[in-house]
This record gives sequence, C-alpha cells and structure tokens, in this order.
Amino acid sequence: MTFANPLAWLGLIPLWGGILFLYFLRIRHQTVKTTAAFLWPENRDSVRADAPFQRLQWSLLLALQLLLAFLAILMLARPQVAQSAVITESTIFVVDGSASMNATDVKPSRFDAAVNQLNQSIATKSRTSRIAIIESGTTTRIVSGLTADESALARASRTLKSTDAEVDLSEAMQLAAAIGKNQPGAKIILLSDGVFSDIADFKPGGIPTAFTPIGRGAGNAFFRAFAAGSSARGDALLISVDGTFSEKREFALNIEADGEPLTKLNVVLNPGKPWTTTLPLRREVSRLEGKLDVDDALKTDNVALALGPDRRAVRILLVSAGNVFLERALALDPRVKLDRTASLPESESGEGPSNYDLVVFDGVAERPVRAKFAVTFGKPMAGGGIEPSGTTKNSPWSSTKKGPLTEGTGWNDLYIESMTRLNLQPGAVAWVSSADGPLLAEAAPGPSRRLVVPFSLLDSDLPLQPTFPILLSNIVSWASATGSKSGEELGILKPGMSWVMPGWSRGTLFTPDGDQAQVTSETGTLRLSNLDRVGWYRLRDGNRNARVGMSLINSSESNLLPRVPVLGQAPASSVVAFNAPQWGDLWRWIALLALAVFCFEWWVYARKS
Amino acid sequence: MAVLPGLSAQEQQVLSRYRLLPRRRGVGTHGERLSQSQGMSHEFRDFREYADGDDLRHFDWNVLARLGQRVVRTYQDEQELKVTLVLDASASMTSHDPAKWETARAIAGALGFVALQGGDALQSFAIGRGGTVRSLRGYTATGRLAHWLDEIPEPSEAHSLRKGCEAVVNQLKGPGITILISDGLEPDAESSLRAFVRRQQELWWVQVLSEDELDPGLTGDLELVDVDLGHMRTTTITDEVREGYRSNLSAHINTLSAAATRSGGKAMLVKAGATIESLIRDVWRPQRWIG
Repeated sequence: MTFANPLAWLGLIPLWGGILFLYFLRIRHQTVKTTAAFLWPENRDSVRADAPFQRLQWSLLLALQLLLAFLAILMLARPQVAQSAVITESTIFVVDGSASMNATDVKPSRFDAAVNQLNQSIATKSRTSRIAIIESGTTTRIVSGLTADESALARASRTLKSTDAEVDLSEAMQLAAAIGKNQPGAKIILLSDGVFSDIADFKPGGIPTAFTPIGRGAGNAFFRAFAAGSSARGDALLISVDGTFSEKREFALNIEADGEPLTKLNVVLNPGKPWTTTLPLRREVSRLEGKLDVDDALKTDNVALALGPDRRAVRILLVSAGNVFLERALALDPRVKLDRTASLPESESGEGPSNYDLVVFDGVAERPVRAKFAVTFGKPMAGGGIEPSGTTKNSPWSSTKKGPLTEGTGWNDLYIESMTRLNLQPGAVAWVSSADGPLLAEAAPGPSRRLVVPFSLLDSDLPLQPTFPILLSNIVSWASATGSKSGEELGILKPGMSWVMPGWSRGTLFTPDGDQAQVTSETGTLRLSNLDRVGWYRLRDGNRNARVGMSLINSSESNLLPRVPVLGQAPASSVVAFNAPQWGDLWRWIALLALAVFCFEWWVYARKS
Repeated sequence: MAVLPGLSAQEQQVLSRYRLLPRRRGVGTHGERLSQSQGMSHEFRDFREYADGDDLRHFDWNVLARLGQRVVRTYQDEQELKVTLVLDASASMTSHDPAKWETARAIAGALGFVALQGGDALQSFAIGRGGTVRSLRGYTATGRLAHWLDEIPEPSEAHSLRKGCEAVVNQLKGPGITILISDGLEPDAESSLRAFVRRQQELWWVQVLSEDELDPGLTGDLELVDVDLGHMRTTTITDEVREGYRSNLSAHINTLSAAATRSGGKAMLVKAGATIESLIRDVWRPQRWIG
C-alpha cells in the first residue's frame, strides 16, 4: 500500500496533541449543597474540560476521538493498494452500442453490463489515471476525452446509450488509437459482445488492446427476410425466420398490414434450419409488419417491417455517349425500363411533366431535367446545391455515411484517375467522402433530387468493383422508394440510417417509443439522423405525412453466440484479458468507517451527557 | 385551645378525637383504654373527651345528662404511655425546600397533640437545638407544646442525626413510643434508629423528603457537599448517575423503614407539603397510627 499524499501524516501530531491536551485539562466542578451527597454514585468521566490540569485517565471518548483523527488523516493521505494492470495511466474505453448489446443473456443487458464494468473501473482507478470513453453507436461519439476527473467521467458514463442498429466499430477503434497515440501508458479496452465484423485493418500503433466478450450466448429468433414482391402469380410476402436455439422451438408470427392484423402463422424452427414461407397478399397493402411472439434474448430483431409490393416500373433515361457497363448494369434490374439517348431531349429539359422517373447523365453535360430524380457521373452542372470546382485525384481512403444509397457498398481502395472537386451547399449531403472531396453527393433543389458521382466511370475502376451493381440497385430503389396510396410517403431504412426528406422544411416527428419532437431545416430538406430504434417513425407537417420503418434484419447482429472477432492482425482473444479491478483508492472506505466511528462517538457522548 | 404551628383549628378539632395506637403492649398501660389488665387505681385525675375505643365503664353519664358532652374519666394511678417526640432540626430539613421543615413541624405538633389528648406523657426533643420539653400531660399542655414548636427556629446549622439521636436515647427511661421525624439522609441513620429500639422504644419513624430529594434535577459536573455532614462527592450527572441516585435512595428508605417496622414500630414516608388532613385520611387512620 502506498500513499498519494504522505505529507498528510504530519497533521496527525498536532491533531492528537490537541485532543490529548483537552483531556489533560481538569474538570472544574460546580459546588452544589445537597442533603444526601452519599447517595450519589461516583462518576469521574470527563465530558467537558475547561481548566488545568489532571492526570490522564482512560476514556472511551478519548479513544474514539483519537481513532477518528487517525482515520481523517489516513483519508487525507489517500492510501492506495496495488491495482491490477487493467487501468493504466491512459485508458481508452470503447463501448459497443450495437443492437446485439441489448441482449438480456446477462442481466439486465449486455450493454448495461458493459457500462457497469466501465463505472467500476472509474470508481476504482487511481487518482492520476486518466480515462477516455468512446461510444460506438449509429455515430461514433467521444463521450469523454482523457481525464482523471472521476465525477466528470461518471457524468459522461450516464449519457451512454445503446441503439437498435448495426454498428461499425472500426471507426471507434481507430479513434481510440488516435486518442491513445503518444499518451504515456495508453491502453484500449473494448467493451463489446464481439458481435461485429472483423476489424482486420485496425492499427493500434503499439497500444495494447484488451477485450473480453460480454454475454454468455443465448437462443435467439430473428428474421432473415421479410419483403413483399409482385410477380405474375400476384403479390406475395416472403418471410424467412431463423434462430440460434439448440432445440426445436415453436412460436407464433403475427403479421399486420397497414396497422391491421392480417394473419397469424405458426413458426416451427428446427436447429440450424431456417423457417421460410411465402404469404400471398390478396389485397393492396402499403405497410407490412411482422412480430415474433417468442421468449428470446433479443427483442429488437423480433420485429420486421416492409413496404407493400411496388408494381411500378422505374422509367430511366440514360443520357450517354455510350457506356456498356452502365447500360447493362441498369438493364439487369427487373424494375427498370430503360431508354438511352446521346443528348437530353428538350421534352425532358427545364420544367414540366416528365416521362421518366430518373435521368442518368454519363459523360454528358448535365442539364436541368423535368424528372424527379437525376444522377450524374462526371462533372456536374453548376447550381442546384452542388458546385464543381476544379479537378483532382482521389486519395485511397474514404468515409461512408450510412444510408439507403450506400448500403452494401465499399469505397476504399477505389482507383480514380481524376475527379471533379465538389463544393456542397447547405442542404446537400456527402454520402461518401474522401480527402479530395465528396465521391457521392446528394442535393434536393426544390421538389427534385439530384445525385452526383464526380468522376467518369471510364476514369475509374468502379465498374469493375462489386460496389458498382449494388450502387446502381440502390439508386434505382432511391428513385422508386417514395410514394404510396393516400399520399403518404413511405420508406424502409435500417436503424441508424439518415432519413432524408426533400421538400420538407419542418414537421413533427413521432418516434416508435411514443415521443415526438419538432424538426426544422433551413435548406428545404429535412435530414433526420440518429433514428436508432426499430419501428415506424412518422413525420407530419399539416396534411402531409411521411413514414419510415426502421427494421433490423441482420443475421450477424442477431447471432448472439460467443464470437471472437479479429482486431488488427490477431483474434481479439489473444490480446490482454479484461478483468475488472477490485481495489483502487481506499479513501471512500475509510470515509465510511470514519463516519461510523463518528456516529458511535456521538452516541457515547450523548449517553454520557 | 392553643393553636399548633402548621395545623388549622379544624385539623386540631379532628385530631382531638384520636389517640395514639401503639402496636406493642407493654410500652405503657392506658387506664382509659380497654386493657387486659384488671387491676386499676380509681383516683380521679381529669376528664377527657370520649373517643372510639374508650372503655364505656369510664364514661361519665352524669356529664352527658347535664351538659350533653361525651367525656370519660381518667385516673392518676394508671400507667401512662410515655411518648417521646424527636424532631430533626438540622440544616438538611430546610435545604432546597422550606415546606419540608414546615411539614415535619406540623407532623410533630399533630402527633404530640394526639398524645396529649390521649393523656399520654409527652417529652419532646429537637435535634440540633437544645430546647427540650419534658412531662407534658393532658390537653391543657397543648399550649406548652405549641410554644415549644414555635420556639424552634428554622434550621440552618449542620448537625448530625446520629449524634442527636444518641443524646436523646441517653435520656430515655423505660419503655414507650418514640416518634422520630427526620429526613434520615445520613449514611448511618439506620444505627440511629436501632438505638431507640434497643432502649425498649416502639419506634414510629416519619421520614420527610422534598420533591427535589426524591427526583433531583441536577445536571453537569458537580462537587456535591452534604449540608449536615460536610462530605463531598465529585460526579458528572448523567442519566446513569441519576438512576443510580434513585436506586440508592430507594434502598436507603427501605432500610430505615425496615429498621423501624421489624422491631414492631411503624414507618411512613411523607413528601414535603403534605397536609395533616391527608395524612390522617391516607396513613394514620388506615395504618392504625391513631384511632
């Protein structure tokens, strides 16, 4: 045991000396005449001292007061016991706030268990140890920078919250490495259940990283697929349910259509075998919701949302000098009805009704279009929220914002010979950015929406990447996803994705939890982020209504079985094991003991008085 | 009739109907009272108002017929009951509460008056004061008793109960009743009481204590000085100490009471301020001190 403030012991001498001096003082007794002095018992316990001097006598009060003084000095000396090596001089905690952390296989939940471990580390750390906290949720958030202030850390810890979303931990881990860089004794502790994608490219820069999966693993039922489609045989809902149970389970699946019960199915789930069915939809529906009535570890993935089948074909006009990659990729999508032209017809230029849902410019100068959606590959036209400014080369590193347009795409290691640098005006969104500017930007000038990929497909290897057909599919979905009967705009997103609503400058947002909030935008486009709860979000502005469903259909998040992901080049389990420290500073315990002694001393004094 | 200090005329009127009732035979033979003894002298000595229990053989029917008064005759040669009245007049009897002394003096007057009314021979001593009255007899001596009581100044000087009792005991001759009125607050008060018993006295022990002595309100760190003995005791008054005092006092009271009653005497504890009327009603008559 060591003392953080050993000089405090110097205070013990005058303190004890003062107490003993008071006890050396002789009691001055008041003389009182009485008729029966012999009946009074002798009692020489001194409870007050106010005159010189007497021989020191044994007194319980004296002993208690000396003990109290000793404890006070001991507390000020800040004794510390040897700590485990978990909390170092600079420790960066990364708290996983993904959907799987809501699992209840450890009580009350994996996320709460992680926060408890964090709080325990804060409470027992040494006085000089610094801690930083990073929350990995729908966005990566530095909850607290490196600080030794325990109260500030405790306050920051209380703001941590989990989400219903899949989380990309790589950004949080890179951020932790950046914070720990050049810090003496830095260490990263990942509080997670291990249910995340491998972070093979994690480069901690020599900073030790500790990780132990939170959670024991538990049986869980979840949706693998829940989507409506239209075919020659009519509309149908494809449902696939899977589970991680070790034995056969049977439970109900309730399906609602437009908020009304549609049917109830009996799910029989055998270990390792998904349950799949196709449910014919005999009437036109806009919204579909499936709920698994099962007792399992994770409730978030027991709900699936889908839109009704979209029978409309997406009419696309490709304005291009000729691009076989693009043309074939678009034509492969069964939803697309494609026309190709070398230049934009006057009938589609300017303002007015359009024959197309989407106009795609490829290597051709972009012009204003009548269609509601426009995509430009190459240099965009000026105005409309996105301004071109010169030419540059793309750097290999990029960041991607989660959204329907970027879902399933990867933009790192993309080779681009040259690209146009873009300046985004307020209201525009950079879905993918590199150090040289946006690689995928969206703007919503007026009622139309405009997407820009600022490089020619032929000047990059994007058409050769798996991302390319996914991006085009996302673009087709983007151009067809809105619109429904009764004028309500509908959409389906995954938790954590941003909900972008062009043409909306204000509205009331109703969340699945029953809360509501006023939202406004000065750019004419509402962009709602951090929608991280599963369920229907509704936006209302007067008579206008929009609704978006957040649905977690993610088999990796739903698989709660213990997993050891890769952190850097090695499995996470090979790094330092995490055990919560048991002792740090002892002054709190001493303070409690001193308080107890004080109460006892007061009780003794009160009884003697 | 002379008025005794501390007694009202009405109380004296009531007391005049009573006589002292000794518990033991042999402390004196009452000619006026029904007795086992058959041999009596018949030399007339005085008239006395009839009281319950008087022998009807001595009832004077002629006086009743002529004057309508109920009197009995007393005779000179009857063996008298010797009553010794000992009143503690030490400083402790006025310490803290003047009512304590007034009550003690009133009791002395009341019981002395009853003795005189009963034709008993009364002698009185005041501990701490030299004044002694001997051989008072008959109700006509009431004035002398009252004068004696009036002459005793309010106690203010320390005096030992033990020494005072020794002085009285040395003057006693023959059996009789000794009525000792004191607070008894001395460590060896019991031996003082036993000294009377050893002198063939039926001891009637009257202990008078003030409210403050029964439940003291002292607090703090005190040097307690005994007003009579000068003893000192250093103590810090706590709940435990106060409880210890009460316990010691209770034991002391019981010890003194037992010293009187075990030898055939009587004992009573009187709180300062008690009236003679209440003592007659609640103690003396029910416990057959008088009758």
